[in-house]
Amino acid sequence: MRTSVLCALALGVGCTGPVPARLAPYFPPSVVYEGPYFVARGKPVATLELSDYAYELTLEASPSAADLHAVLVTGKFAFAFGDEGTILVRAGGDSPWRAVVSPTERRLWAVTKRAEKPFVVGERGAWLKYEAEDRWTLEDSGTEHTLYAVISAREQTFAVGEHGTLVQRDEHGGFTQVPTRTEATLRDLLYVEEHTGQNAGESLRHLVLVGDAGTLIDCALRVDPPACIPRVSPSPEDLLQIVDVSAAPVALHAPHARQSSTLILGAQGFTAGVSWGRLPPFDFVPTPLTLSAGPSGLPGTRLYVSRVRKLFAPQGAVQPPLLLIGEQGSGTLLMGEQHVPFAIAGLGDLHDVAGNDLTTYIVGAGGTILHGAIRGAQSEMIHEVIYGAK
Amino acid sequence: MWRRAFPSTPLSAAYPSALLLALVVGTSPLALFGACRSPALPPNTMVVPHSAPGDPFAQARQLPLDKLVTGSTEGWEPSDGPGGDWWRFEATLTSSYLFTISGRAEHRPSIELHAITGNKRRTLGQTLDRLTLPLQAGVYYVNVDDNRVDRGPYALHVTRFEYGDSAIRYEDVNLLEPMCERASSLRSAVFGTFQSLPGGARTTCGGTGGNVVHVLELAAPARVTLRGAAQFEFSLDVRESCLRDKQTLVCAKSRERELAVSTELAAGRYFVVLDAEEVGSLDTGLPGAAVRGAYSLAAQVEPLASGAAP
Repeated sequence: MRTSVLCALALGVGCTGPVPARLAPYFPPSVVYEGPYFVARGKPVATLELSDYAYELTLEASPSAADLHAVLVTGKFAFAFGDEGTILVRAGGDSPWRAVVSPTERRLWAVTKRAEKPFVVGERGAWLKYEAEDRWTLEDSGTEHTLYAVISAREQTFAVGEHGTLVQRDEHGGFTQVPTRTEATLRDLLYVEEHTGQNAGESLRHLVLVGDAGTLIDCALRVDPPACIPRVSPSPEDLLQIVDVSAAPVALHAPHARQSSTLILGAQGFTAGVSWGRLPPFDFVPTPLTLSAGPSGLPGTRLYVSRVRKLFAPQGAVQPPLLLIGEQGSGTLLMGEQHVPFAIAGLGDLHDVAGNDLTTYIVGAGGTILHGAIRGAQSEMIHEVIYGAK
Repeated sequence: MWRRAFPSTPLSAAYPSALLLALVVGTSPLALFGACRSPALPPNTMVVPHSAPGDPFAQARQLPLDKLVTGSTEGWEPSDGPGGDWWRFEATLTSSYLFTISGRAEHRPSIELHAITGNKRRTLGQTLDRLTLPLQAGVYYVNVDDNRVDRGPYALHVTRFEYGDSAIRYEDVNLLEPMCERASSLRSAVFGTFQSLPGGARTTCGGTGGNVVHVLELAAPARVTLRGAAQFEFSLDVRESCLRDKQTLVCAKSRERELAVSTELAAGRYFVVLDAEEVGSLDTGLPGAAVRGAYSLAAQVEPLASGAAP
């Protein structure tokens, strides 16, 4: 039922109202949405017009004025985390954001989830585990160094931070510090799993760590503890983020960019990338990326993005392929050959972005929470179409 | 776990059918054979404990390299499950090994090989007569069994086999020459990717063969310290000639995936080969010994006092 209705939508058949024709290219027939549906609470503060649809950003009321640094959307909730241990949560539908009691006052920098259970890391080795309802517990990560990023890899969860710290948490809650052969501050990490053989269980599992002064490290997970070896860096600049953009290479314009599957965001611009089909450990080639000429006919613009703080590339989601956020409420939305910058007056820096198939959340300074969605995707009609509800 | 006692069998004897040889590797693989059960004892057979309780490998017979051994599986029933004879084989070098099992002519012997990594058992391969496998240095256990009612004596043989299409084989000059020509310098630290390659550059103290050759040029006699780290166990070769038509000067193996080796060298041009000392998971689809991983390598050069040339 869902699929057939969705197919009808995708084909632009039998649908009425303002949404179907515009959304048609962005709802592949195979999409069956499973996550929660977050209704935007407020009025749009920015509408980003693309050729096929519009993307709306809505400022939602925040119960906290603390700077927010991390956001996560799970199968049931959206969470935001920030200074002084701030934890905010909202459920689907039109539920409001609310603050919950935090077990720490340390600044929280990053979040991931494993089996829908969030893990949050932060200042002085802070490591929070979600228990249930509004209960969070503080775990002993075994380090006093600040942790800036965290990611789950099957049963394990890894976090990186100051002084080359790489912490590994096993499924039973045991923590191990993994040697990384660097003292540089590590800012982000990416989990890569490539199946190479005939057996489903045979794969190459690696972590790629990035950090200050061009630090780039590959860790093989087939040995315990993981074996971490430095790699040739694509840039001497501070490397802030590494992200899988395999779902959105078309948005990037550079030599080999269309074969790129991983992108590193540096403090002075983008550096990329690896090719499809390559096995880890990856080789990263310094590739200054530019935005291709858009429908306006303007020549390609170098994507100099010193103001960009985070890049979001949804995997298989009904979202724009790439969303960049940065300082002073600014950002850029990239969709194919199109790129639409935005700057929302009165907002501070934007710090993190995450989402599910329908909704993107952006958080930032002063408790900023922005809800992002394709216009019309917030309507009950889309909800009905996807769920076959009502 | 029980094994039937039998006399040694001369090679001229007819061999039983459908022999099953299984090779397992690991330090204490007993626990991994939880599926094995004590076989029902055939009537009118004399049995002896396969080993001390709890360890069928403790009494495994030694399987020497390049020497034919014989045994028999007579008396086993299919319902016995995986039992049979156990042999202990120690591979002293990382190499390709050829296992051959033979039985009576009218039946087709079979060979099944397993590997144990940590607490997981993997099937390495299966054949009816010959099986060539890349093995890293270590102790392996070979199980000879029989799936048919008609059992009897067998002969078993293992030898190094580094020819033809073996995963680990002698350096192929056609592969090596281009590697030597484009070998990058060790003047500064290098960070690269090793991948096993049959016929590729191979260290003299063992190794799978791979794609890594670097060049080190010395203007004057020096003490050279090579420091390496990798995501796999490895070895380093220092050669005067890339194609190894001169004797290798140094070969050293890593420990815990790290290595530091120091030597005095005269002025000249040298080639440094980095090679894997372990065999990867053979069904990953990677070539040769199925090893791929990152490595780092740096050379520290300290000039020797004049007149102290090595």
